[in-house]
Formats: sequence, C-alpha cells, structure tokens
Amino acid sequence: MSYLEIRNLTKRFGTFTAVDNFNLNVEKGEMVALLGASGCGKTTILRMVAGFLEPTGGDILIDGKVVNKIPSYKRNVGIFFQNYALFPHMTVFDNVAYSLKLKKMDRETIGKKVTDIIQLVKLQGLEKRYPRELSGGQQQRVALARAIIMEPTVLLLDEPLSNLDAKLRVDMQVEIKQIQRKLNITTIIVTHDQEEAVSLADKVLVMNAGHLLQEGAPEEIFDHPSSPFIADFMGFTNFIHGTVEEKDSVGYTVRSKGTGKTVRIPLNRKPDMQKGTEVTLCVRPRNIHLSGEKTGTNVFTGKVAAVTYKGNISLVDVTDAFDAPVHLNIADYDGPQAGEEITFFIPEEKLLAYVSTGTD
Amino acid sequence: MYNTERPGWLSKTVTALTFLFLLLPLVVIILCSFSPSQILQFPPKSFSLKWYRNIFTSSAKFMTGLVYSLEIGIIATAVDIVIGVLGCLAVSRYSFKGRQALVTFMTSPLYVPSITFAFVLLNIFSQIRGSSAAVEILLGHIVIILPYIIRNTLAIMSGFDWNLEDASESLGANPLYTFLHITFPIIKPGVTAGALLAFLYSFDEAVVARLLHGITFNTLPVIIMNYMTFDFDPTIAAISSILIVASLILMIIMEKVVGLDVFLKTN
Amino acid sequence: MNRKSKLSVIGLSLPCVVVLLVLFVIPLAYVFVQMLQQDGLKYYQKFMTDPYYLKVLWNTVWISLFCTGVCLLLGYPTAFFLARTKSGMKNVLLIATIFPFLVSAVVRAYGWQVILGKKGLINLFLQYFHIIDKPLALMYTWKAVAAGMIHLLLPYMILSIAGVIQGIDPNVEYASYSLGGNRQETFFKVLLPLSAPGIITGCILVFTLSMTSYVTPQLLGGAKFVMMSTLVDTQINTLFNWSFASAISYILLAFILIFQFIANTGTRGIMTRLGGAKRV
Repeated sequence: MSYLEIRNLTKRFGTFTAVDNFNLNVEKGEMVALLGASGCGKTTILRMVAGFLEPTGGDILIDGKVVNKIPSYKRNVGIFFQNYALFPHMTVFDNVAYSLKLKKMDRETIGKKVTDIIQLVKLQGLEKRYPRELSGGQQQRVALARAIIMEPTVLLLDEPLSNLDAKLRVDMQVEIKQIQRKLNITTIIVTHDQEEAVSLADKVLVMNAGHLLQEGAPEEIFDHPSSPFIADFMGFTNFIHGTVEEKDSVGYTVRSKGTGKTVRIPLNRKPDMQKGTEVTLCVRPRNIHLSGEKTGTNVFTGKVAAVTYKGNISLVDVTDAFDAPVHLNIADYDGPQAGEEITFFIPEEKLLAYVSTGTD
Repeated sequence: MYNTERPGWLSKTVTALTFLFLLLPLVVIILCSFSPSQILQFPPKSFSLKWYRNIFTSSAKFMTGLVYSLEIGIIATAVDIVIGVLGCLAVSRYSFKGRQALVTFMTSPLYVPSITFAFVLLNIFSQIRGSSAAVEILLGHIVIILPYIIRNTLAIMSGFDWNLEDASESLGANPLYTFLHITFPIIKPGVTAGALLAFLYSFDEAVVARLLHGITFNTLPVIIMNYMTFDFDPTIAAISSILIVASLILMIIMEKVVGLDVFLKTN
Repeated sequence: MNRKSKLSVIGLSLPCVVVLLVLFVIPLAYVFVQMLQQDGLKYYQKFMTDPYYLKVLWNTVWISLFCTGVCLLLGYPTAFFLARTKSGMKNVLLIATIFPFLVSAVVRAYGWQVILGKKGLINLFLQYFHIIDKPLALMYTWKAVAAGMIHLLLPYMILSIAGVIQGIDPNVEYASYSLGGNRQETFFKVLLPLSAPGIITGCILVFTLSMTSYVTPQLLGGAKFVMMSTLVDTQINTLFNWSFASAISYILLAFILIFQFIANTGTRGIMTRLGGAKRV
C-alpha cells in the first residue's frame, strides 16, 4: 500500500470539470511531478491534497487514512507556494519557527531545530531579516525551510523554480533534490516546466484538461512520450504528417504530405502499422543535423526562412521541406543564411511515430 | 526639457489660495481665543487665557460633554471595528454572486441624509419607552460611522495576499489563530485608519446627537452649537482651538504611524 | 463555492447585516410606512404644491451645484499640485488638507461666523480701511452658507482627485509630448480625461454632502437662507410638526437616492473606460 494514494479524484466547479478521475500512488520518500500547462488541473489536485479544496468525488489517503474531510491545519502537509507566501511581518526566524510554535515546543528546542534547518538551506546569518529585505532566491529558501521543518507527511511544491533566474534554478534543482533525499520526505511537485519535472522527480505524470495522459520515469516520458501532444510538450517541436507507403522487415517508408518526400523510420517505432496508415512523425530540433551530402536516406532540402542567434545555439527555421516548417537547433552555426537553400539529415532512430487520429 | 510632472504656476497659485482659504477660519478662531474682550477685535489688543479657564467653569458643562463624546465615540468605534472587520472578511476573502451588493449595503449609511436618519431615530425612540439619550445616540452613531471603517478595511484587504492564510493553515494553525497572528496584524494599518476616521466622525457628529439629546445628556459638538446660538463669548473660540490643535496633533501622529496614503486610496 | 465557504460568508457578515437591518433599514422603512398610514400623502402634497417649500428645495439644489462647481475649480489645481509636487511640502500640505476633516463642522461654522459677522473679520477689515461705512450683512445669506460649505467640502474633492492623478502613469504625458502634443493639448486630451474618474467621484460626493448638510446651513444660514435640513429641524424643534418633518426627510432621501442612481449608472461607462492608464 502506497504512502500517498489518490483514488478516482474528481473536482467540479459548477459545470466545469477541473480534475477527472485522477489516480496516483506515491511511495514513502518518493518525489513525483505533476507536469502540465496552466489550467490542466495540477494545481487543483495540489490544493485538494493540501486540504484547501474538498474533492467532488474520490478519496485522498495519507498513510492509509482517508483525509478528505480533515482540514488543512490538521493534515501536517507542508506546502511551498509559488509566490512563497512568506509572512511579511515576521522575521526569517519567526517564519520558519511558526509551525513549531504551534506545536507548543519549548524555546530551546525550537531554536535548535530552526538553526539546523537554516543551515541546511544555507541561510545562516539572515535569521533576523524580514522577507522584503531578501532576494528572490533567499525568500525561496525560507519558504522551503518553513515547509520542511514541520516534518510533514507529504511535501507539496507549487512551481518551486519558476520565479528564479536561470543560474539559480540550476543550483536550486540540485539542492532541493539533495534535501529531499536526505530527509526522505514524500514529495509532489507541480510544474509546467518539463525540465524541472524531469530533473527533480523520480516519477513524472503528464496532465491535460484534468486527465492523466502518461505516467512514468523521467527518461521514459522524455524519450518516449505516448502522444504527439505530450511529445510537443517535451520538446519534440517538429511534426511531419504523412502516410505509410511501404513496410519492410526493418522499417517503414512514409510519404510526407505537402512536398511528398519520403522518410524512413525503424520498425520498432510502432510495429503494428500498415501500408496506408496515416502517421505523424516527431523529432527534436537538436537531433537534426546539417548534411554535406545532398542525397541519401532521410536527407532533405529546404529553404532557410530565418536564423536566430541565441548564444549557445542558433535556431534555424526551414520551410519547403515538409508540410510544416522545420526547426533546427545547431551550436556554432555557420551554414546557409536566410533565403538560401539548406540540406539537413534526420537520423531514423531519433524519430517518433504516432498514428494520426486526425486531431494532431 | 518639459518638466511636465511638476505643477505649473497656475496650480501653484490656486493651491496657495486654497490653503489660505482652508486654514483661515481655523487660524482666526485660535487668535480670537486669546483676546480678553467679549467682542471680537482685530487685530487683538492683548493676550489672555481667561476663556480657556472658562471652559472648565462654564455652566455649559463642556467637560461633561467632552466625556460623553469620548465615551460614545469609543464604544461605537469598538463595536463597528468588530462587525466591520468580520463583514469585510466575508466580502474580501470569498467571491460570490451578490458580493458587490453586500458591499454597497454595508456602506449604505453614507447615502442616507443625516437629518432623515436622525428624524427616523427620534420617531422610533419616542415610541419606545425607557431608552436613554446616551443609548439612542450610541445606536445612531454605530450605524453612521460604520462605512468609514468598512471603506478603509476593504481598501487594505484588497491588497492582502490570501495565500498567507493558506500557508498559515498548512503549517498547523486553525482559522482563529491564523486571523489573530497573520491576517489582522497585516491589515491593522487600514483598520486603524478607518477606526480613527470613524471615531472622529462620531466625536464631531452633531445632527443625530442634537436631535436625540437628553435633558442633561449632550455631546460636545451639540453643547458648542447651543452655546453659539445663545451666547457669544469667545469661550467657544477657546474650546474650538483646543479641538483644532488636537486634530492637528492626531493627524501628525497618524502620518508617522500609518502614513497618509490611505486617505488617497479609499475611493 | 462550497458549503463551508458559504457558511463562513454568512457567519462573518451576519453581525454587520443584522445591525444595519435592525438599526437602519427597518427603522427607515417602518417610519415611512407608519407615517404613510397615519397621514397618507397629505404632507408630501403640501410640500410639492407650496412654492415656499419648493423654493427651499431649489435653494438646496442650486447652492449644492454652486459649491460643487467652486470646489472643482479650486480643488483640481490643488489636487494636481498635491499629486505631482516633488517638494517635501507634500506631506505638510496633505496634513493641511486632511486635518480640517477632523475638525467638527460646528467649529468650522463658528470660524466663518467670526469672519463674516457684523463685527467679524471682513467687516472690521473693510471699515478699518474705510472701504465701507456700514458693516455688510454677510451672515445668514447664501454667501455665508456657500463659504462654509465650500470650506467643509473642499478636502473631499481634493483627495478624490489627487488620488486618481497620483495613479496616472506619468509616461502617458511623455508619450503625448513625443507624439507632438504641446502642454495644453496634453492637458485637455490626456490628463483631464484620465483624471475624470476622480472628478466624477468628487463631484458626486460633494454634491450629495451639500444637499444633506445640516450644521453649516443651520449656523450660517439661520432662518433667512433655508435649506432642506434646516427646514426639517424647524418642523421638529420649533413647530412640532413631525408629520411634515417626516415628509420632507423622505423627499430629501428620495432625491439623493435618485441622484446617486442616475449619477452612478450614467457615469459607469466613463469610469470603466478611463480607468486604464494606471501606474504599473
């Protein structure tokens, strides 16, 4: 039996269904990410687990006990809010010590515990400051410390890294992971950032419109998204629509719509397709390379529409290759510029294939 | 360049004239209070404190009136703080159909003429036997000053991050603890500003107080008003000066403690 | 909204609502109905058909309009100055604007009595310089009442407008200049429209307060310049005609409510349209 169980959880607001029959099992000490765009229901689920919202249907069980009707202040669930929600009229120390004072611990114990946690999140020396005197990164650590000091049964993180700049984000990713491992706290992260989900969690759940779309380990979701929608979300932003023209022992030949070029993909991508099947292929921008040769399997020509320099990489937008524009990410780019012809190569094994349902 | 943000000569001039106009009567009163003669003399010929002394000895019983005004003001304000803050919580924390109507209802005393309401109270209380003037005026003031507390409290609650209450609850605090330790300390400046305005409005209020006055029970503004109608000596100037200076001091304290922005935002 | 929240809303708002109903709404309605049952429409008709009383209503209306207008003319430039001045004077001026608020209308009326009386400041001043021979009768005229009311209500107008101007993004003025507008054009086409919400709120407020004021007309207008509130007072305290006092009170109330309704719905369009250029 899992430590945190969510069974057939449903939430309706009037006629609008925010969460639809959602299920989740989290083991003790596991860190799970709910990944999805705004409005997909992930925050609603978070608030129900926290105890701020009552489910319309279904149950939430923590350590075997149904907690639906237990108010938030009796659930011992720690929450990290996206905007930190630090108490502006209290010092860092008092913010962190808040939950301990409520548990009526004596001053000495509180002092020691707070000091330990503050050291853990590397905020030594800032105990007497007020939230408005801290930087974003520091506020974030206070919020984290405040939530974990109460030794919560479950820790909920709402977009923990979204308000931080790029460098800080990387540092905090490492720290959060370390702290969570060390304290072995059962954690749910809610985020719209696939990088955040994949780097922090042991298990990722992709959501949309209140439903669970796919559940699995980060690598699995990252490399094998189960639908074009999830693929797009995970960074497979190039789409080629076409029809299976031939099937042989090693792979398929797909004729693309629009320009009619043929693409080769391996059989194991989707073994059960037949000639005539409508298919959508996806590939990541960074998996497309410039090609010296003008001919060959999966070598294509197109016209450069724009080149955008981004420092690390350049984004190259190519038209006239397939029905939709193709995006390439290439480091140290010195190939064809806007208006010129470009030749590129897509390795077979980097393509994903989905049977078209007509709605992709 | 354009210096556009800075006011030009026109607004500077009008502003100066306006402030002269605003302060003139008050300055005149203060000057009069020190003149020893019965009638007004300008410029005043000498300096005397005899009217100030008269405040305490006059048969008009200013000091008693002052005490009554203070009592009613404090009690009315205290009651309204409680019911007002609770009402504002209902309207600010939750959103529901009819929310705006409830807000309008809570500030509705502003829209009713004082004389109309005073008359209604007079009429009703005359049909009820055995109510004292003090209680009648108190009940009237509880209604009249409520909007002042509501407006300021609503204004400060509109900027309040309600997530803070969720955070407090998640950390183990029940709703009452959360309100006392998190919500109220943060909204206190707005509530205080509203309470101050409300108290002062009750203290200065003369319509209801005059109509409902008892044989011996009179609040200070009513005593002053009656004195003005029948007597003419500058004792009035003396007591008025004290009130003016007290208001000024209160204003300065407010500026230091709470800031004056709250007056500009309650629209 | 779930049940728990609904209960909270009801529970929290109940004390306030009950107090207002019991002490305010019900008494207003009860007396209205009671008087209607007792006297019918007799006293309402009396008011509406007698030119003397209609003149009182008319007096109240035009002097309120006058005061509103003067408050606007004096108040707008002052509010502009207050909102935009960078000098350290700002706080001092704010205090000077607001603290008269805290001084009772009674005291302020007294101040005007001293200034306007036969032996008051103005007359002493004019006689001292031999500009006039006999003292002017300024008290108990509409001029006295107007002076007193403008004095009382000016801070409301100033604060109302200043608050809005303070919230206007100064960049919109710079934008106007950069697009070729001069100072006057920028004022009339950009600043004035954007400060309209403050002007409207201020005018509605000042007009309403003038219409319903009691102390100032009572002390400065006396029996010579009668306004609605003074009229009610006379009926109650001098003539002991409570039925008539009731009719006048409710007529005044109706007038104010209708005015508020028309003013608020009529200006709603402007208020929402012009609320946009807020300081970010």
